[in-house]
Amino acid sequence: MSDYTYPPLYCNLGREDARAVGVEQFADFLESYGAELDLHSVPELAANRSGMSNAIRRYRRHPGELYKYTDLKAALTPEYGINIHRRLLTPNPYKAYRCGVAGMNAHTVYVVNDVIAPMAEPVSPAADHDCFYVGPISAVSQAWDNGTSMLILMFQKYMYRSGAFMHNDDPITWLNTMLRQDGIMVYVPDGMKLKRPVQIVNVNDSRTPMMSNRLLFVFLGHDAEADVILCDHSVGDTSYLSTQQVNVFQCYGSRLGLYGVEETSAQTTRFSNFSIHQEGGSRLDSNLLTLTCGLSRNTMWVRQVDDNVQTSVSGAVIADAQQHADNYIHIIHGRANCESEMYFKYVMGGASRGAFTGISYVDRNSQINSRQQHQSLVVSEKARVQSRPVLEIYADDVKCSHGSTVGKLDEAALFYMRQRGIPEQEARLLLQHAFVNDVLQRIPLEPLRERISRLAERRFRGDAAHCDGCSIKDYCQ
Amino acid sequence: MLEIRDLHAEVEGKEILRGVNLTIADGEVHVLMGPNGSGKSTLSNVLVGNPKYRVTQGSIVMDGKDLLAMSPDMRANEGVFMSFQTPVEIPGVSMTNFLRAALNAKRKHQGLDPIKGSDFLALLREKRKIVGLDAHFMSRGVNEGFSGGERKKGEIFQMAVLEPTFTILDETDSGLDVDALRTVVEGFNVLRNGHNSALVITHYQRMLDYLKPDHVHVLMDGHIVKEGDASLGYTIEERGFDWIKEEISTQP
Ligand SMILES: Nc1ncnc2c1ncn2[C@@H]1O[C@H](COP(=O)(O)OP(=O)(O)OP(=O)(O)O)[C@@H](O)[C@H]1O
Ligand SMILES: [Mg+2]
Repeated sequence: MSDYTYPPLYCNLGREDARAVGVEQFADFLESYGAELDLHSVPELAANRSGMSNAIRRYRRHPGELYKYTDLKAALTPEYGINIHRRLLTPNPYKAYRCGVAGMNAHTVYVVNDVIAPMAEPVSPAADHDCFYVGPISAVSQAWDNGTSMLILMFQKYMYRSGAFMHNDDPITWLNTMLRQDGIMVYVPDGMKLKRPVQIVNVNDSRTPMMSNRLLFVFLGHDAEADVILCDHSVGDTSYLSTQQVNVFQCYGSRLGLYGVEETSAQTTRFSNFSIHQEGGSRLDSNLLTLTCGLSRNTMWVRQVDDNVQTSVSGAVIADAQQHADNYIHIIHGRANCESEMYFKYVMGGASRGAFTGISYVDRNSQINSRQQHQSLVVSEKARVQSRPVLEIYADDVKCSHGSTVGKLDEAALFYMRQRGIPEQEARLLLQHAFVNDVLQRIPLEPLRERISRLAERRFRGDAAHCDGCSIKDYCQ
Repeated sequence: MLEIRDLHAEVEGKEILRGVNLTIADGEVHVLMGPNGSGKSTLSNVLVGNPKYRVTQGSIVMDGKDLLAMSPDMRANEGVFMSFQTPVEIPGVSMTNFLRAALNAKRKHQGLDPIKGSDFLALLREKRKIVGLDAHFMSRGVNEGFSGGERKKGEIFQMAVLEPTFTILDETDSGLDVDALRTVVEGFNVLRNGHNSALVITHYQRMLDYLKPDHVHVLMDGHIVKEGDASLGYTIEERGFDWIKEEISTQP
């Protein structure tokens, strides 16, 4: 352990009881280091730790269906350090890293492990209700002037409301709640349409195994609009574990574009939890793209409230080698005239594992239209993909559809392309890219769409060498 | 020069070609006729290296090079082009991107740099005119939602862009209306020069009228059973294949 990952987090040191391995190490950790953790935390985040710790101790007896395709215990068992003292390991990440989605003219925030780097162009905390805010929660915490205290009040009021479902059920949310020390808040007041997207670049960068616990809270006022891009990277071949909790509160008529791009490493275990509260007339366009990963899991709960809510969650996975990618989407529909769509495509190579769970819940007296599609292209013998659509419908006036297909590359198309002189590798690349491309085309933000399409193409080109997919590679070498 | 010697090939374990011999000199157009199921498309597929077909015996040599030793893409880059009897759809890969990849693969094979974007678009425009293919087909997926006739036009259009030295047309005429056929074959003739050659599979006399082939071959039961000039084609159009069958059976 090097000095900055102090104190180290030992999981099963001196324990004979095999059952204690896994999630319990974190509860043990909290017992020993809780006070120190609090000392370096945003006070508003320190309050909830102990309840979560009890929940985690109970979890191992009730694993449930939530992590059916991802072995949570195994994923959480290795030892990691936590940067409790919150030192910024890379002083100027804006210079040091180059995220492939850069140049978006965004409000960019770099998060190195879980420490939020000072922004190159800081957005100062709102002086009044009419200003937006993008920045660390620590910057608005315990503030007593007008605008800033308003922000922290909003945080306290809506952050947990939007995340309620996950707090009851999800061990990753418990873990994150228990260990996180700071986070990012995006606040967009009523009626404001953010011209530039917000981009959060999460970078795992450490020379010793490192755990990061990240938090993002997005609040969109009535009729507000914003686009938020989340990029995930890993530097080098260190083992990383990250948990991320994203809570979103969308007021009436607001629109959010929420995009995730993961380009991490084979040694990265990443959990990202989204809990989204959508009031009437609001719209969510979400796109989650897993380009390279070790073990990756996105869990998204969307709760539609009232009428005319639209939710579109799409995503793509490009996996090979031993990668494991799991998307779990749960949409609880609103009342009248609500729509939802889940659209996911996976390209699975090597010995990769893919899983998709889509749950549509429709309460009595709802009138909704819900579609679910999960299509996979399995390009190697050893790759596997599992798909689980769940429709829980207690209403009559609903239109629900779901479909899941697993196919191979079209050999006839492949031959046709080769007959025109296109080498086999290139032909495969074109076919695979074409397969996921319609998911990428759903990104309404044009510059982002183009960049992501290019990243995907490069990902297909980057043969077995894993780091090829990662744009921070230049920095590693 | 293309030389096929004693070619045997099977598909799904069934022998279809049983010793085909055929020589096509530079600049010549040969027509291949034969009843349905006689193996014409099999021969074409073997020429372009479709992995579904297995060659068990014989050789194919083009300009002194062993074609059978080459991958399908290598053969294409050496100048072999096949207009498919049933071109497949490639959803999501636009005709433009597809042809750019193909053309640049060929240029790479020839040691040339990739074509400039503007030159490429100009080239597509020029070649589209030859077969009368609308611009919107360029941004659509290859053959995606194309009608039967449009697919055939698309094949000749691709040929025009890639400028092969040896072309196989596998029933490119069927599915085309009268006017489209004229445009397509005229387009094909425009692209002929003293060096490139073709093997044209057809069931119809109209094709003979337009092409004025140097030779006509008849394939039956996996052999070339009869050869002649264009007049053989007209006789077949008139009398069918039965007389040839009888001729064979009376031979010792
Ligand atoms: N992929 C395949 N699998 C099984 N049998 C095949 C396959 N391809 C061709 N055959 C068989 O091989 C024989 C020759 O077929 P081929 O397509 O070469 O005939 P053809 O001369 O082109 O006929 P047509 O004039 O109808 O196009 C037929 O009996 C056909 O059923
Ligand atoms: Mg045929």
